[in-house]
Amino acid sequence: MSIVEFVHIHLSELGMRSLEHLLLCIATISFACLIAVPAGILLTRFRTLGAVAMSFASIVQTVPSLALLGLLMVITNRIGYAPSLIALFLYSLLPILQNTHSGIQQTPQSIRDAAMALGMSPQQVLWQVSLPLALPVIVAGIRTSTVLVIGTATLCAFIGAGGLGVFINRGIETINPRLVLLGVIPVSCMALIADWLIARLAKVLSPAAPGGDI
Amino acid sequence: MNNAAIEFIDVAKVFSGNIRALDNVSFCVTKGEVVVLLGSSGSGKTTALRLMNRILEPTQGTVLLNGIPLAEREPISLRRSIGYVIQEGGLFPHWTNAENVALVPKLLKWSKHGIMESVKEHMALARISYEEYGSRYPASLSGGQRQRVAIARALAARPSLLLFDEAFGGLDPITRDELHAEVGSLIKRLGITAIIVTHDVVEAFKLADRIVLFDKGRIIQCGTPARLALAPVHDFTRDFFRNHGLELRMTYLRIEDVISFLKVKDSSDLCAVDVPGDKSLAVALHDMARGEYDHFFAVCRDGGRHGPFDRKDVWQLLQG
Repeated sequence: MSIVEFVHIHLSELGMRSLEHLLLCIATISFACLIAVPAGILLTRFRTLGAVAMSFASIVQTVPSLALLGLLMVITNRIGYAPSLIALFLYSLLPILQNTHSGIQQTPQSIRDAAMALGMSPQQVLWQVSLPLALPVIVAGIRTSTVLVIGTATLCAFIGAGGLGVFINRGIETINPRLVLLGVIPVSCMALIADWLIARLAKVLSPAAPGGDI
Repeated sequence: MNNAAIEFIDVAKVFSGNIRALDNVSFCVTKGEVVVLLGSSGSGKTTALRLMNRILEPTQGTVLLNGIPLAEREPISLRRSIGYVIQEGGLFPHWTNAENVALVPKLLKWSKHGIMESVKEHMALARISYEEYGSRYPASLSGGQRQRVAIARALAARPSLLLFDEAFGGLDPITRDELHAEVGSLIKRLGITAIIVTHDVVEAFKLADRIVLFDKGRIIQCGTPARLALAPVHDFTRDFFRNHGLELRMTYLRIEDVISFLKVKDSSDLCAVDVPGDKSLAVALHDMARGEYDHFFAVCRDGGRHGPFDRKDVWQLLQG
């Protein structure tokens, strides 16, 4: 069977699995951003809480991803989409949380001093100064998480969440390198494209971009 | 005293760990006056400055602004009414220079037109071209230019009080001299009360109407530059100026600053020359030596003519 034929046969399934994979990752990253960015901001206000949350995220990160999936399958007593989403979500928290937190804390003291001394409220300093300046660092965290999640999501096939990991599993079971590659190559491409897209987005949102009145 | 812009009454500030940054500090700044808080690092001068816009609160004592205790003022609106310039400017790197200057008027919700007018006016006053630099970002400016933008920003909402926290530190000597001269005359022209924190003795002599000398959280001496240089009440004052002694007195003291330290000669048949009071001692002495005049009258800027004085007495003062 030639490569062209091989791909042709699997084309419709490839489309479906890619879509599954993509949706899982988009859902995960969206949730992670929704939770981790505000949490990272809040954590700059409450120091001890910040330290606790950060070490929790670090601990989650150290659990091997496959084990985390297995654990969640047991805890939620389900297979498929739900435990996968939760596991990936937990897994993707740390980079975003960490980058948001340190990005905001990295606002130079002189700039924070000037902002406060000229009469900006703490909220104004956060929204108009610290957050825009931290944006590139926050986006870098989101990029790291996204690439991580797209790769790790292949494991979710083990607990029945579908996605491109299905090809990899099947390829390993049947000792068929072509099938493995049919999973791996789209995953890599997806990761690269996502990384590039988010980088572009960051450029557009970049604080140094000209704009605004006056 | 209703002419006081800032008044410290028996102020103490203790930081956590029982560090006494200020101890029983009392002084007064008159409206329109330029007062330099001078001292080495850790002397309490910056703490004193930060009490003035409620970035810090006194542990004890009262700070009055225009006769009203600061504790009764809402901190944020208070800060918006006071100009503030810090070392390296503290400009927002993600805002254009014009946006930076517009900060306080925007916070005060001025009209668009009013903000625009103010930005242009104050960038012109700080001598940084609006047309050329207004739409550029601070990163593209030199240190001196950034400091000009920071000064324009501090002035933009037309404050009656301006605070400088080591604002000229970190600049190269030529730029610093330039800014000293310009800022000095600008403040006087606008009639703004200014408090300048510095450890630079020369800066203090150039800009100050009065100097408040701090050490270890206490005021050592307070007075005109001439008084501190010529009549130190404390060894610390003498030591603080030692390295710059002669240069300071020669270059930065003017004839009118020192005449109160000179004895008037009573003989009326002296051959004396009129010397403008705003001449530095160095220039005045040099001119008199060249003209071979031993005695002089000081003609001050307020129109008064004082004297005659003996040139040798001036020399005597300088040796101090």
